[in-house]
Amino acid sequence: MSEAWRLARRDLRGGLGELGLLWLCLAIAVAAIASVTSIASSIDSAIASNGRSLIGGDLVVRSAQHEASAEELAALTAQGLVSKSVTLRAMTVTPGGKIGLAELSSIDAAWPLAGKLELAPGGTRPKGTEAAVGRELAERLGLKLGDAVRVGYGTFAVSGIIEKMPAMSGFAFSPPVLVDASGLEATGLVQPGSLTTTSYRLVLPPGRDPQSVGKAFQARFPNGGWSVTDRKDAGQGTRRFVERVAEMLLLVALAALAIGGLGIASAAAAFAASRRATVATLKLLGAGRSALAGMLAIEVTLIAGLAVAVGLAVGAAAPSLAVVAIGDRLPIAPDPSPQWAALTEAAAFGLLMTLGAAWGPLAEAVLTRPASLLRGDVGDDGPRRGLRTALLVPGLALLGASGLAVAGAQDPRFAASGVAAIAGLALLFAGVGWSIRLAARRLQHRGGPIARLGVAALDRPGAATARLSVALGLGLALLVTLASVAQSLLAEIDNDVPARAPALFLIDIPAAQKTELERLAATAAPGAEVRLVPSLRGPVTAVKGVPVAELGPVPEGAWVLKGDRGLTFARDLPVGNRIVAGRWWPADYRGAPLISLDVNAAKALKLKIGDTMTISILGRPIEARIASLREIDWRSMGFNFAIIFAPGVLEQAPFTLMATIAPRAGAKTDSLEQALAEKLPMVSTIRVADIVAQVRTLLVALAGAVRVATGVALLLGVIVLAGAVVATRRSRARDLVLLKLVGATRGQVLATQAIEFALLGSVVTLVAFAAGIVVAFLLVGASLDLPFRPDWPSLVALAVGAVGVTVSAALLAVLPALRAKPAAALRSI
Amino acid sequence: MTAPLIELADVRLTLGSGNVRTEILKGISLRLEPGETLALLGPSGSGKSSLMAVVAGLERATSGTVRLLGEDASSLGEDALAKMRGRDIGIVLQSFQLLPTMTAIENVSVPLELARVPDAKARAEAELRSVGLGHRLTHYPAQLSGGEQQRVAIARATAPRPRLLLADEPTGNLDLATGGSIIDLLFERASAAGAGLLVITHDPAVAARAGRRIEMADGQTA
Repeated sequence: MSEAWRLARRDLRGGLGELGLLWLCLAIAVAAIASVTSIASSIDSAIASNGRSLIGGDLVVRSAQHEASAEELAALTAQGLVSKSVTLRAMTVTPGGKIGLAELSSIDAAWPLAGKLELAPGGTRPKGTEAAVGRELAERLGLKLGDAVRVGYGTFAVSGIIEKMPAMSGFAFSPPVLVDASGLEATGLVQPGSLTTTSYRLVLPPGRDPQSVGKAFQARFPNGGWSVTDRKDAGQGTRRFVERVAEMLLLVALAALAIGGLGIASAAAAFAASRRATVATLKLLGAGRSALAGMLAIEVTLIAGLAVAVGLAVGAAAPSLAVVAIGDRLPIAPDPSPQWAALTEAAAFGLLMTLGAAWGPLAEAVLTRPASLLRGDVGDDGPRRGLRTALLVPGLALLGASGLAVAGAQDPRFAASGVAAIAGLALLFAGVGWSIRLAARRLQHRGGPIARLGVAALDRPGAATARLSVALGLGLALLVTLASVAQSLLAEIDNDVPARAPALFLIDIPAAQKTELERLAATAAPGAEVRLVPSLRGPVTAVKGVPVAELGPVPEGAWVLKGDRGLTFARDLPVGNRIVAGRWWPADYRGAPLISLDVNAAKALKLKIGDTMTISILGRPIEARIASLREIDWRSMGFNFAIIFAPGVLEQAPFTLMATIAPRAGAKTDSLEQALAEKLPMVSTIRVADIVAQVRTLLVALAGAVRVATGVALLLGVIVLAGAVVATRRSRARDLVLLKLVGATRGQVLATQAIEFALLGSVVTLVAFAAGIVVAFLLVGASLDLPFRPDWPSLVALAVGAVGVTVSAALLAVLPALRAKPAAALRSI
Repeated sequence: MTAPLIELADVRLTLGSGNVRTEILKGISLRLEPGETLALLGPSGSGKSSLMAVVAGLERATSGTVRLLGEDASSLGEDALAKMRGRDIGIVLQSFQLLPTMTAIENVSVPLELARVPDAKARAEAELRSVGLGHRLTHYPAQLSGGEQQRVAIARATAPRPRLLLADEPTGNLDLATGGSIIDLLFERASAAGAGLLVITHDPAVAARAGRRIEMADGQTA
């Protein structure tokens, strides 16, 4: 090793200019991976380490529509300090008639047991006829401290504007309003059948594991329909979302790494070529293969180490930037400290890719025969021996990188499909590159000298056509795929959803007020279509007699087992549903409890007709037999229930109604909303447009993140292209000078280069465009079951832009060769 | 009266920048009349090739007057000089300098095609046959011997029927016998085309073939 080090140190005096491209590609790729994984990890770690403050205790047990029995409460208080709250949706109305949906919660004196209720200056906790309101709602309704606001049947004075507080429910899609227990009573909203959630927060003595306490409680009271969230599960929705987004972005970053790998391979090949004479000379003088291999490895590792260090430094800073960029949109700001595990993973990806890409050229350089010095062919392509190791080690390295991507993913199947897709696309574009070479070989004798030179350059010895095809095509195909998926989703949201969805969802309608609601709708929104369904909530507590807690991990797709489910009962098969197994019950059925189940949930749980599910309704377990399986058109935007009961069971329980209101085309719902707020204060109104806007904002932000990630992949493609041009600058300069020598003008000389890159760019862009569209079509059509509606003009502009960027970048890189003074160039030829 | 093909008056050429500046040509004056053959002799580093770069319009003189084919070279732009080369000046270099991705006939037809000469391919073929390479038309440079490559280069230089032929050490990369035949061919083609010929060489035997000889040393003519 010391000999290798000594040789390397001396060899370094000649500089490592050939490895500049390696440095740049590796640094950018590692920075991309490290940034994506670090930001995801920083959000995850912030949520995980602040779990107590986020949920307001060590543990929360929740149940829909009923409170804990004396025995259940005693079991909870035996564990530690307990705080109770009741949460439901409610409409808030100002004296001026402004209305807004809110998540209303009652709090007791103990709340929050962990974390803090942060109020704007001057605010106080609500007592009696006071309410604290979330900033978003206060701003929307124009509420200030002391202003009056009506919630349900009660009128409250605003005692505080809430800046931040522990979450009251698992997922809140409306801003909070807090009152105390007497305030909740004053609203008059808690009635039998109201969709309330009662939560009990606990602070446990030190050393007690909240997860096991929660499980023990669920096991002791299996029929109570209790769901448990402990501090480790806090912000699970956010964490899952961040994980999913991060996995998708990581795949794009890995594609960028693959593209960077091509640049690394080019740089390593140029470096190896430049060192062959040195290797041959040193062998002539007695140096062994291991010392020479060590020398080259040390030099490459030095540059790779520097590149990885820069990439990791960017990744380490990324969480701090994320705090500034997205901190306020998350339940808690990301942890700004460096995420060491994520950085280690990124470094491993970078080093494995360097090993994979650089091994072959270096191995070939080490095998240079000293005899080649005598023939003067050390600069040629080099020996082709030792190809087995030249393929084996890169193969293992790439396998290692793929394995790391799959093993480290939350969803290994998604990651494996992504890695396979990247590999498939890379192979496709390598094939495109070889086809371009073949076509160039056949066409290079056609046309004038300018066209001939441009075409022939694609197949000249040492031309990087296949490599450039992969480098440019992979990033572009990804961009086209992701852009058209996002465009299809946005088209669905912008066009189809508003056309298909009702304008309003009404929930918590007391069954007794059905007629009043229909009358109001007929008066305030004449001609509107009103659909009403009964509604209850309750969790599935057992499947085929086995308690859910004993089923082990919830299978993929079996979301019906998670938390409370919306339930209904129906005499007729709802619109948008289709029976695929079993039979729908007769309209006058009054027998033992039957349910109709979503066919996908049945598949995930391996359930068939005749199997049973136990569902807890208001704390009472009801075992029902599966009578039919339904295919549900979730896009129908109506009330779609995974579990529907046959008539005769749920009618006995207190239930409320839900309604959809679809006004006549072009008609507004403002006066109906006002009338509902006035006359039916129990009813909560959800405007579909508000939800669509929220989803749209999220989707646009996601599309932006994806654009940045694919932009990095494209940038690397362009860098690899520029690198390849720089590597062939000498031979290009020679050809260009010769052309000038025989009378070519500068424009003609420039045209030879433009033709070469325009041909390459056009063909690769065309294939990338087609491949991206096909993959997106499959994703949108087959996986998401949505119509495929990309924004063609913007995609065509993207393709034209891609060709433009390719040609411009290549011409910029070739500029020094174009400017080469003929006399000087001839001297050096 | 026809203007001289080359007319240099007190031409100086300095290359490099900053402190590293070298005066390559130190006041060269020279004339070449139509149909005349001239050999420029001198040791390595005497400035012969730089002088050729100046008369080929590849390098601009730092000072002095350069008139090529009766025109003031300093008043011509890069593209105008390129067109002049394509039309009226044929150049043969020591290391052949053929375009590697083109066949022999394509290499010869390039200057004709650039000048939009009709029947460029036919003329290129005739030119190659006249240098004895009728059987090598579709061969690539890498498939030709050194002598054959230099014949292609000569054919390329003479195909546009130039008024001036410039040759820089045309036998430098060839063995003695091949070199001799190449020199024969060069003088024969120049004479056939009625072109003036400027040959740069350090070989006195080659210089002896020219009608006039000029010795160069240290950037100056003797």
